[in-house]
Amino acid sequence: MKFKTLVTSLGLVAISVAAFILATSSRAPWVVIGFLCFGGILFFDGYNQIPKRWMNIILFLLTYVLILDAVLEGTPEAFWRDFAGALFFTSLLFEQNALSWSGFGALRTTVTPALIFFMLILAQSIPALPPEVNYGLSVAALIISSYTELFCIFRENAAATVGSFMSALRVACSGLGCLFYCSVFLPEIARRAPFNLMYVGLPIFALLVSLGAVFLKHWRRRQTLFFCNWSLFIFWAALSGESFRFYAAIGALIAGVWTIMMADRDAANPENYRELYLKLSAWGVPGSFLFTIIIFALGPSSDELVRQGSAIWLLSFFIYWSGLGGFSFSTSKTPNKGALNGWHRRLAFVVTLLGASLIAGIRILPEIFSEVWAQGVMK
Amino acid sequence: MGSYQLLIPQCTLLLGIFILALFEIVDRQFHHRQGWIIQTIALVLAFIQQLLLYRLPSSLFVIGGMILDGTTQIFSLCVLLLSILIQGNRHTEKYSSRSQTAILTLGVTFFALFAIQSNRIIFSVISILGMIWLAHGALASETKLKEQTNLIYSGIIRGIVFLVIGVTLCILCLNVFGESQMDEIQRVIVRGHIRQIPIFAIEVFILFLGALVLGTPPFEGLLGKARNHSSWSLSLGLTGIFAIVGTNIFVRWGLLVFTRPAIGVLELEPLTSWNILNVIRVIAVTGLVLTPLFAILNKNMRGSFLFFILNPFVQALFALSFGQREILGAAIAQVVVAVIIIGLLMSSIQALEFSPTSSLKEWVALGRRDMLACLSIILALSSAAGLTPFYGSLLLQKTLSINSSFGIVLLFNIVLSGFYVGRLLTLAFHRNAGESSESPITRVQKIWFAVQFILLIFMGIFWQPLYKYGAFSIRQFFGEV
Repeated sequence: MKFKTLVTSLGLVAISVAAFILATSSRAPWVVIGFLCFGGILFFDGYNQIPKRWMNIILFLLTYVLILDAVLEGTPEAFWRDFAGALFFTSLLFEQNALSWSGFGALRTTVTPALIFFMLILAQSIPALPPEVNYGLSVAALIISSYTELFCIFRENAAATVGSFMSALRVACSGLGCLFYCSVFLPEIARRAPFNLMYVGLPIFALLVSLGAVFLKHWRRRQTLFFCNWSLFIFWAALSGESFRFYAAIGALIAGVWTIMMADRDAANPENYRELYLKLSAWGVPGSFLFTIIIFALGPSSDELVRQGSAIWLLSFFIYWSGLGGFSFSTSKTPNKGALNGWHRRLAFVVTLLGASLIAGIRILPEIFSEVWAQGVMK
Repeated sequence: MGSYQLLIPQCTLLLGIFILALFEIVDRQFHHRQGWIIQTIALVLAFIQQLLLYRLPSSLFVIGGMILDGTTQIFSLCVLLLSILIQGNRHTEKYSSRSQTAILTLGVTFFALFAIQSNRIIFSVISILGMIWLAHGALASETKLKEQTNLIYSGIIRGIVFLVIGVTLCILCLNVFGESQMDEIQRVIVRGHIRQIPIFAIEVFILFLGALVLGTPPFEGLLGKARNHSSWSLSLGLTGIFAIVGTNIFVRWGLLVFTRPAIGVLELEPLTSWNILNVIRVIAVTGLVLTPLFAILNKNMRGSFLFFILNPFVQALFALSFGQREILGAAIAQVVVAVIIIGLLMSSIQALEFSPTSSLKEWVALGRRDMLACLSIILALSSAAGLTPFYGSLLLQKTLSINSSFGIVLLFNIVLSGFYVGRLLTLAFHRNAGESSESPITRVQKIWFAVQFILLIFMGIFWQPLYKYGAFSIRQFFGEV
């Protein structure tokens, strides 16, 4: 296992270095963001899911190659193709690592959204389509990529995939794709009516999903939907067009990916405060790393629609938090060791705590943050 | 430097056949590995020789009995590469001990090269006739004794039907153009003053033969049910070789004879009132819908795969039908990718020890038992469907970028192909394997899969060299080389 982990780590570093060398100065930060996301997945893989099989390692590294290739591409067509490839491999990894389930259903496999995504990007190649339709197809593709796991949520054991590296990989791919698209290829019409209504439309969609999650019995399935919404949250924050919100979206991506990998998947034991804290922080409750990012991303805005969208997002998060009352605890008297080993758990605890304390940083050193933000706005 | 040099790879293959036949005559009990080694050496040598022939200036040979321009060169290399891949997979097959199969498959490769490189239609027709008979013989040698007679009989009949149509075509060509040489035919058409009805008939014959050899649905191909009981490598591989020859007929006999580069633009324009590009498009559109549909409807794995491996060829044919230089290059390169796809499919299916009559039931939960081989099959099929990150997706994007309402059919093809791949992928992993049996795949086979698998993916990610090679191959026709 150690050998496989070493090979994966070396592969990841080698690919990152090669991409960094090949990247232009404007694209180099994207390589760094990609490395932080994928490196985080590998680093916090406390359950040793990736090195379990050689095929996992190969597909994980190939997904990384594809997503890095996507952010280094010069044309939108090439970017979309590589992005679709990364999403296809993610769905492939999902299927091969998911627990067995009964029957066949096109709507219960993650391959279907990957194929719909591919169809949507192919349709953009048709030259007869007006730019409005093209943009609509792009947005639809990005929303599909954000809700990939929604398709398999009705499997009898879909809950087991929560906190897995497949979920984190999907969030990393769709998040990086959304951010890059909004930063480099977003057309001008995106900021004009009627497309600016998406500042409200996307949060309303997320709100509906969170309301739907209330009816799900199993809390892990609700968490799957929470992470899907988190991807949409990243897209929304990047789409709003304000620099500071865009940086917050980058933070949301990295924090989201790390948190997915840091969350303990076993039933919570009330005696183990670390485990409980990690479990709760995966929902973005106040005092968590994700909550800090929520505050950053929902910062004040001059745009009326963005303000309304922020309020709806907050409502959507509240709905998730309100469902935490039904949290199930371990009834076992013996302390639950969990599959996360010692140093993984301690590191996850420290990272989450540091992330949460960032919010305090705003109170303590407001001038530093405002300066950073102001620089971003000026750019 | 004479045109006889073009025949060096064919001479090597002929020498291989001769040595194998000599062994068969002199010593009937010779070890089957000797035969396998001789056949492999002949094929690899012919491949290298064919590769080196690229150094010869193509303009020397376009006029005359043989052709060696870029397109012909690529197709010839594809045939030889596929033959090597078939041979590589036959290494562990129980049928590989039959020396007559080795002689017959080598003969198919030999005739396939002639069919592609011949400048005269009559020679190509005779070569394809040889391919049909030898392929049927090879397939029959791998089936039960009582079925062999039927297969041989079926092959003879199919060959004769093909010969009759081919000879009729040649007679028509001789009557109308006074020649069955392709460059001469084009010259006569360019001069004009020929009645359109006979030309129309000739075009119909050519397109019919192309579709028949390629095996695009609704045609079942010239091999038909003869492939049902033979080994996987031979049935898939021979289908691939016929598909390459069929594509060559469409390109060389159809597109490049009845069109010419339009002045000022990088497009082909039809030389006759009946636009051959549109007709090819209609054939391709039919194939785009029926190929994945038949694959989905077929419950037998072999029947299903035999249809689906034609998908990249049909997609390439559709792209070719637009006659744009950039798309032509991408479509030619797709044929090279199709060869790798068939190679990966052959080796992974064979490693799983699938029987020729395997059904979807045997596929269920296969991924849980042999993940590597199963994923290799799925990725090969994904590549055949044209999904990302494989090369086919680039061709699809380029084809869709042409402003044509036919693009909808291509999207429909992706929907069906995607459904097919998605269904197989889900079925492979949705259940646990009942009994954990030991994987029959050896370490060497695993490395071999990995090599082909990585090659296929890297051809999709770093597609520029492949695409440039494809574009270069047709540049000569546009008068730039």
